[in-house]
Amino acid sequence: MKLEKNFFKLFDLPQQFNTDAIAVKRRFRELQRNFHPDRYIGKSPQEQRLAVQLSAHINTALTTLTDPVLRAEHLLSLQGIEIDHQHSTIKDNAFLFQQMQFREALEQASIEKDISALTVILAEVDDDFQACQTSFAHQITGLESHQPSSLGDRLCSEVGKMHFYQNLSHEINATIHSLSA
Amino acid sequence: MAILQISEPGQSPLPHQFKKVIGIDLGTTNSLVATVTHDGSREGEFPAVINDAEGRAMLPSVVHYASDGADFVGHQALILAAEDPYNTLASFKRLMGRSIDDIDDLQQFNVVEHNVATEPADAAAIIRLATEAGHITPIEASAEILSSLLAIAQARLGGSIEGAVITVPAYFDDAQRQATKDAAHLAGVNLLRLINEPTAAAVAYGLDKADDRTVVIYDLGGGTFDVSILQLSDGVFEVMATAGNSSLGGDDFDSAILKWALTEIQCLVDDLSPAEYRGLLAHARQIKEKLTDCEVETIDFFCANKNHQLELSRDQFNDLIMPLVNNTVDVCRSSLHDANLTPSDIADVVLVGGSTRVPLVQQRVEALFQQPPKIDVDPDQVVALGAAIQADTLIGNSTNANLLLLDVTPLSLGIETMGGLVEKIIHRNTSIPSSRAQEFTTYKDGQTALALHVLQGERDLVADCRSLARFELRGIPPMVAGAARIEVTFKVDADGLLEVSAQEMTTGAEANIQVKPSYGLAENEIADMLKASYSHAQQDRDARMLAEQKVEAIGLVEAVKAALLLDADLLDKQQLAKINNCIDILLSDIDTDDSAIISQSVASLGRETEEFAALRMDQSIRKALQGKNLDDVVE
Repeated sequence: MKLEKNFFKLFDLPQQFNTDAIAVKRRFRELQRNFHPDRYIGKSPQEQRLAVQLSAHINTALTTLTDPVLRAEHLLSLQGIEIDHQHSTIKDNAFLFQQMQFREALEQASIEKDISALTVILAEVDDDFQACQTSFAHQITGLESHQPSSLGDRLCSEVGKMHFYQNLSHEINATIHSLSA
Repeated sequence: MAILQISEPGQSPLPHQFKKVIGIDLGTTNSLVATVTHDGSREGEFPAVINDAEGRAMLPSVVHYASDGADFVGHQALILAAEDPYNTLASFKRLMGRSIDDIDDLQQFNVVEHNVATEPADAAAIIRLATEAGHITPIEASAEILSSLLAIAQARLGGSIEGAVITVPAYFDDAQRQATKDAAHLAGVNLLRLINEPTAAAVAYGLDKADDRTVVIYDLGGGTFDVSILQLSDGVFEVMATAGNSSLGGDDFDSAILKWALTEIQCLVDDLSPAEYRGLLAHARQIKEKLTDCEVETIDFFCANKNHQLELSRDQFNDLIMPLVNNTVDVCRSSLHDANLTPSDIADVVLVGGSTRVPLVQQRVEALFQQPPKIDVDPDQVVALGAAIQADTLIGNSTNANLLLLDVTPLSLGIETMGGLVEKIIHRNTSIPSSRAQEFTTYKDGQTALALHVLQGERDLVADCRSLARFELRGIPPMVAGAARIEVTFKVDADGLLEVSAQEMTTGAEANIQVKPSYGLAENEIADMLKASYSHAQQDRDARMLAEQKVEAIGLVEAVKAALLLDADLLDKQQLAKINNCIDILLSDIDTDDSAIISQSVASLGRETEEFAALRMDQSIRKALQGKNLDDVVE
């Protein structure tokens, strides 16, 4: 069985960063309705096994397409650019300094159990995260397939930043949740 | 595998012939079996609980083991529970898939704390309960319940049952699910699918027929608490988040009352005989039930040869159980957070489980979600009804073919890494089936083997997670530390069961394991139990196994023939001839009544159709990608 590696193709969507969340969901349900192992009860064990594989693949595609960071990485990977998370570092000092400030503010606010301060930080982080995504979406349109370029490097660094923002956003959310419990 | 009904080879059952399938709610306190009856129209599908010969819907999940081997299950066992608590097992669902390492958690068990027996050699051994009839595992006791339910269904529906959907708490971990599957196997139930109780409840409510919406299922049973958040759209039930506490339930309310009463009358638990304890606990339970409608109840507690009269008001009762109910509310909040939702996003709240009749529970749920919860389908029956509907859909009886349940894994799954840390590979609330690979590397120069420790849980430290299995990958070529590339793949199937494999990428050295927890049953143990469970002679046993094997072989032939009818054109002449040849061989081998020969031909037909299955799947995908109506793709 050949699994379609391009999740945009699998979901019948244009290969671009900005996706229509509703269309993704609709297509996901349509695919699962046809390939979920529940639809293969009574079929041969071979087909049942393949259905499990395919259904898992569709689930992975959904996760990838709905998560902005994974989606960005997938787009780069389709252009032959793989991000090596273990060895990539961000050299943008202004960005790193800003991250430190966010971290300090988060720490301070959680010590003081200041939920409203946390909410303010969260909004800022989410704004920056969004801006980073917009910038990525804009820049990737200029990427030529499988050509090593400085643009490729810049895009990788944008994805690295998105990672930071996403983790920070999760952390702040979790802190707010645990404080309000 | 149950003995299936056989139609003549090549002759598929007529379309209006509905297959007999059931849904089973295997509960901590009570179990139920349900089915869907048909009059052939879409409106004519009626899910209903199947009553026993005496007209009772619920079978107490209690088994009495006697020294003479005459076991009693259900109501009779319940009667014997008070006189002979040592040999009467109850609430064993709470022990499914548990090891004695969880013994702290077991202290609260009235039944088993007196007679937990374990294999001394193995600290992580499966729990066995000592009875006069020998040491019984919770899996065997569950299998007794399943057999009884199957018998009730057979008596009512007439003839053998082709398949069953069994429900488990959404929060059941891999070990608990595997244990349930093993129990089904032991009981001779052909398990179509394990589904989560809350999801089953949502199906029973027919929420799929409403508009797109997000619903919460709050399920408080006798021994477990579960909450699931589901998104419904166009017949698809998608679980967004699930959480719970697999050892919190209505039984704890009873214990809280008893504990209060014993303090009031200054009586120590240790002074009570197991029979007395059991009796008092049953009494506490009655009081709890009465307080649902009454404000105040008087209790007679006969303890230490004295009768004590106590009064318990509903307010007092509420105070006793407040911490327990608050715990469930906290779990609801967390799962809303997991799903990125607030209480106002929830269109409906459904209550499931007998313990949701407790007024405080309803009040707290209403306060959290700012709306009165739904409780119009009998909370004791709703899960079994949903399971029956799902079984009916899976087997293809239902006209409502749109119904699809997409569930998630309740707990994260990972691997132990250096320093006693857990690296999560599949995160909780990931849709299943799921498959994910991650690369690891060696720690020491020249390391040629890798010890893999599979864990389940949310915490970062190995010590805080549940150990599922250990296995080794050998044959890694000696390299400097960090140079080997070992890909570990986790696969979770549609029943939520895990399989792990590991491969060294440069040499291809491979190892894999179907995760069977160390405190689960080994394959050969199941085989032994199966043998022991037949009271027949060797001959009968072999005959049954042969009959099952034949049914499976014929099922395979029919599946392949049906596929050929549609898609033979995908094969070249040679491939087609090979498959047809294998079918002919298998069909003639079936008549040999030789188990070894049949299994050989089944295997070769399987091998020969591997490619065909892949080609068919590719064709389906191709059609799907061309944007054709997907309903035409897979018949």
